[in-house]
Amino acid sequence: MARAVAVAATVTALAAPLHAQRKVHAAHATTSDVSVRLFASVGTVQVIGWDKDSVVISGAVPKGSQVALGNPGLGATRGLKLFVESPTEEAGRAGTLTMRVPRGARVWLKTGSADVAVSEVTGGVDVNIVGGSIVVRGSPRELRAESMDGAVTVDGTPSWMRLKTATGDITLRGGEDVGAATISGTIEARGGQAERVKLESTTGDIRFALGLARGAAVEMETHSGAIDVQLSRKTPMDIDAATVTGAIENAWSKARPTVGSEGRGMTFTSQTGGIGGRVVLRSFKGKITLRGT
Amino acid sequence: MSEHTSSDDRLDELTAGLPREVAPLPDLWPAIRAELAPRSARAAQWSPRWRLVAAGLLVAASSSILTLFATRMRDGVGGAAAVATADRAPAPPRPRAPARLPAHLVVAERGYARSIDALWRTLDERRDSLAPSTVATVERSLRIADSAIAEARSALEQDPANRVLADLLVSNYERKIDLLRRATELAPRT
Repeated sequence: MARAVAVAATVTALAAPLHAQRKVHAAHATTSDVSVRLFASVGTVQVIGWDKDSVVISGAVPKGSQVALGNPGLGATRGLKLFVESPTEEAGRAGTLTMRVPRGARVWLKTGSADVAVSEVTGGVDVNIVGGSIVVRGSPRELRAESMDGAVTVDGTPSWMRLKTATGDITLRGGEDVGAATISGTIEARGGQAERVKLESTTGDIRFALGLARGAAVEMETHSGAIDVQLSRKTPMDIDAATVTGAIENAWSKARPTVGSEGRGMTFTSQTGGIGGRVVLRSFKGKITLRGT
Repeated sequence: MSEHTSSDDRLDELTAGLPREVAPLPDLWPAIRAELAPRSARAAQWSPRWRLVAAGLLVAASSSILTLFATRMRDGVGGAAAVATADRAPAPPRPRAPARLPAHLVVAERGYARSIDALWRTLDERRDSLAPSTVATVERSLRIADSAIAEARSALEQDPANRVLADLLVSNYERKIDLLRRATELAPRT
C-alpha cells in the first residue's frame, strides 16, 4: 500500500510542470512621463510603450515568488516601484512579464539572466542584466543598457546612449551621442548615422560602418581587438589613427600609413579640413583597417 | 547723505590717533636667543650621526638602483647579444631604460589602486550572494583587463613619452574599474 502511494505521488509530481506558475496582473493610472522601476528575476521581460497614460503589467511567475506590483492609487501616479523575485534563479527562468508603459515613461529595469525586449519607448530606458540579452527597438531619448555576458542590440537611434558589457556583443545603428564599451565582446555599429561616438574594447573587435553627421566626432579604442572602419570617400574628414604594435591598413584613400620610429606600431593621418568630421582610432596591438564606400 | 554713523566717526578718530609704526621691545631678542640655543646645541650634537645614517641609506638605495639598472642593461644587451650572435640579427636592440612612468600617471595609478581595492573588498563581501557563473564571467573579464593593463604599462615604462600608450593605459584602468563597479551593483543571486 505504501509503495502504491509512493508511486502515485511520483507520477503526480512528474505530471506537474517542473516549476508551477501563477498569473500576475496589475494596472495603474499614471502621468505620461511616469518613472517605473521594475526588478524582476524572471526569464523574459517585454516593455512596450503605448499611447495610454497607464502602466499595465501582466505575466506568469513561478509559484512562491515574492510579488509586489503596487496598489492602484486614486489619481495618476508619477512613480512606480514593482518587484518580482522568484524563489530560485532556475525557477525564475520560466517566468515572463509584459509591461506596457506610456511612451514618454522613464523605465528602470534590473534582472538576472533574462531576455529583455524594449520597444516604442521614447522617454528614458535603463536596463541592467547579467546574462540573456537586451534588445531595444525604437529611439528612447536616453538609453543605458548594461550586461555582463548578455548581448545588447539597439535597433534605433537614441539621442543619448551608453552600452556596456563584459563579454556580451553590442550591436547598434547610431544616434546623436553614442558610447559603447566592452571587455571581450564585439561592437558592431552599422546601418545609421552618428554625431558623437566613442566605442572601446579590451580584446573585442570593433566594426564601424555608420554615416557621419556634419562635424561628427568619432573615437574608437581597443587594446588587442581589430578595428574595422568603413567611411564615405565623398565626405572630407580628418582621420588620426595610431597603434603601438599593431598594423594599419588604409583602403579609404591612397595615402600610406607610416611605420613607427622604432620599427613597430603605425600611424595614419589625413587632414582634409574636417567638415565631414573627425575620426580618432587607437589600438595597442589590434589591426586597424580603413575602408571606403 | 553721509553713510557713516557716529560709531564709525569715533573709530576713525581713534585709529587716526594711533602711531604709524610700533617698534618691538628691545629686550625680547635675548630671551628668544636663550630659548633657541639649547636646541641648536642638540642639533649640532646629533647631526653627524643622522648624516651617517642618511648617507648609509643613500648608498644602499643608490646601490640597489644601480644593481637594478645594471641587471636590466645586462638582460637587454647581454641576452640580446647572445641571440644576435646565434640568429645573426642585423643589430642588437638598444639597452632598455629603467622602468618609469610619467609622474601624472604614477599619481593616477595610486588613485586607481585605491578604487580597485575598495571595489574588490565590496565584491568579495558579496561574492557568496552572486551566481557562480556570474562570478566566473567577472573574474575572466578582470583577468583580461589586468593582462591588458600589464602589457600597456610595461610598454609605457619603456616609452614614457608615448601619449597614445598613456591614454590606452588609462582607458584599460577605467574599463576595469567600471567592470568592478558594475559587478558590485549586481542583484543577489544573479
